[in-house]
Amino acid sequence: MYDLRVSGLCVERGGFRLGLSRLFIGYGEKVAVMGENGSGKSTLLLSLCGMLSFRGEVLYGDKPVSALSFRERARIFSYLPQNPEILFPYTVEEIVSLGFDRSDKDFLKEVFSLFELEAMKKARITELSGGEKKRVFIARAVAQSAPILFLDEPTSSLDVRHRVRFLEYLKELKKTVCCVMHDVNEALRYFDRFLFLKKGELVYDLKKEEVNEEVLSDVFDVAVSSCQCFVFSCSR
Amino acid sequence: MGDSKGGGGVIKKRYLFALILPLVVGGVSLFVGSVKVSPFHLTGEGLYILKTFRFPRVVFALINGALLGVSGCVYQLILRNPLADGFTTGAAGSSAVGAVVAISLGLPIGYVPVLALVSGLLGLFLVYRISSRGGLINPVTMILAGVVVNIISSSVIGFLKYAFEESVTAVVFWLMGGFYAVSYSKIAFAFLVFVAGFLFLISRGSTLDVLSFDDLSAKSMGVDVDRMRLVLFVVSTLFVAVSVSFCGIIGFVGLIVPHIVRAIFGAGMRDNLLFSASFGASLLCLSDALSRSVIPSGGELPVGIVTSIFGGGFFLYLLIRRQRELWHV
Repeated sequence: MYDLRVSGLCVERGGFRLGLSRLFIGYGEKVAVMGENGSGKSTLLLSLCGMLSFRGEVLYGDKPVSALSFRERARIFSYLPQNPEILFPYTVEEIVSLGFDRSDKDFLKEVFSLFELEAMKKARITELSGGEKKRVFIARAVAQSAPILFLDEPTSSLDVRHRVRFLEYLKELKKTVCCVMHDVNEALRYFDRFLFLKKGELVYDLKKEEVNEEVLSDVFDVAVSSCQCFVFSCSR
Repeated sequence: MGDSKGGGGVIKKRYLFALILPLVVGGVSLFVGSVKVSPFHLTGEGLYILKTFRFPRVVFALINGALLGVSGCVYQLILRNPLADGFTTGAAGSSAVGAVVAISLGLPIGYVPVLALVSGLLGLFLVYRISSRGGLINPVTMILAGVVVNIISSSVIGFLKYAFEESVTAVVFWLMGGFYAVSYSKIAFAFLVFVAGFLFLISRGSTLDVLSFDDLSAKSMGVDVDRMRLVLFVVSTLFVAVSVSFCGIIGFVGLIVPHIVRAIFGAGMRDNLLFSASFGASLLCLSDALSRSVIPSGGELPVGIVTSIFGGGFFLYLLIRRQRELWHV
């Protein structure tokens, strides 16, 4: 259970370049990564868990992430891509169990319950709706039980209740969570720290309390004003 | 993944079925052919036919069916394409080029599978490079690239037939696909390749399941996707190359079988491999039995023609039925 330290990170993908001079993510932090489309959010997540080649250094504790084997990385990082997919019609139970440490069956039950998947355990993934599929893939990433979770837009296509259940779970989780989010209001409710990216650069690294209209306006190039919003919670 | 389904008894019955099915099909097809041999009134002549011709031929058909079934199962996984098999990917066509070179040059029989493997890998690598962009394989481009490789292979083979006229008969006979020239050394070689490759694949069952995910997910689950894909390319193409070297191009067994198996037993790769071997062996053995009994005058059809009739229809069915899915992958 270590912190993540980044220094002099530079990633190039096609014509896009992501540069980040210094970043520290402490163990257990809940970090929302935000920014416009194409600002480098997914690239940042992929680099942090060592899935992209980069210049510079990303350390997990004192170990360079790039020097870890795929198996070692899987024990440290759990990653959910933006558009996960599976080729063949596996059952929900098979998908969630893949990559799961079989010694902790209770945790697996907890994951099925969290995502309300018990009733569809035997269903094939091809029989599910888009939102249900997404729940299965998130459940798979959570069941990997790695100490650091990198989730790329996990709540997209989830209905309100499942979004709230999942984000409340993440908030209480004793692990490091780094999520690409698009809904600022939702992120402000569940995350403590915000990394705002713009055109491949980290333009703001702020605590929740420091996020204001001026920052958001600058990041997203739109006029921002505060107004009343609805707040959802699992407890009624 | 097979162990997650049902109780122990059910599992054992399924696996027993996988073993027994090809044995039963093989046993029955021993008594099918142009010369009638009855298991109930076995004459000396009948026994001679069984021992000398039918038994080695049936065993060879079973092994080759298993090789083709398993290779199709692996191709569909690594190329992320339900239409992939040794034939549609161009691997069989390009393997045939290597084999024809060896036959035309009159090289010893041992060189045939080696050259077939080398040219098969080259052809498959070409198809893979053409159809993949940014780590994603376009299934339609892959099939088109496979068609192109098959056409080029046919042209090269045509040229070789022209250039080495004295080998034409052997090459033409071999190209049609069949089990005419069986020998125990070929059986032993094909069997050893199958057992070694199959045990390797079964031992990597969980890794193969993870490969069913998109590449990023699979990597995040601890699999070195690029390295594993390369290894699987070699193993599955070795299977196709061995089959093509000894029996010519037998199309579509590798396409049909994994689909049937997945529909019955689910997507888990261990089950898929096991039953693809079992069903592939049975299907090819049945096709061979059909090919040597369908012509009333006592002649026989090349088995490749029989499998292509079934397989072509199934391929068409897949294209029509799963059009939307395939076009949007």
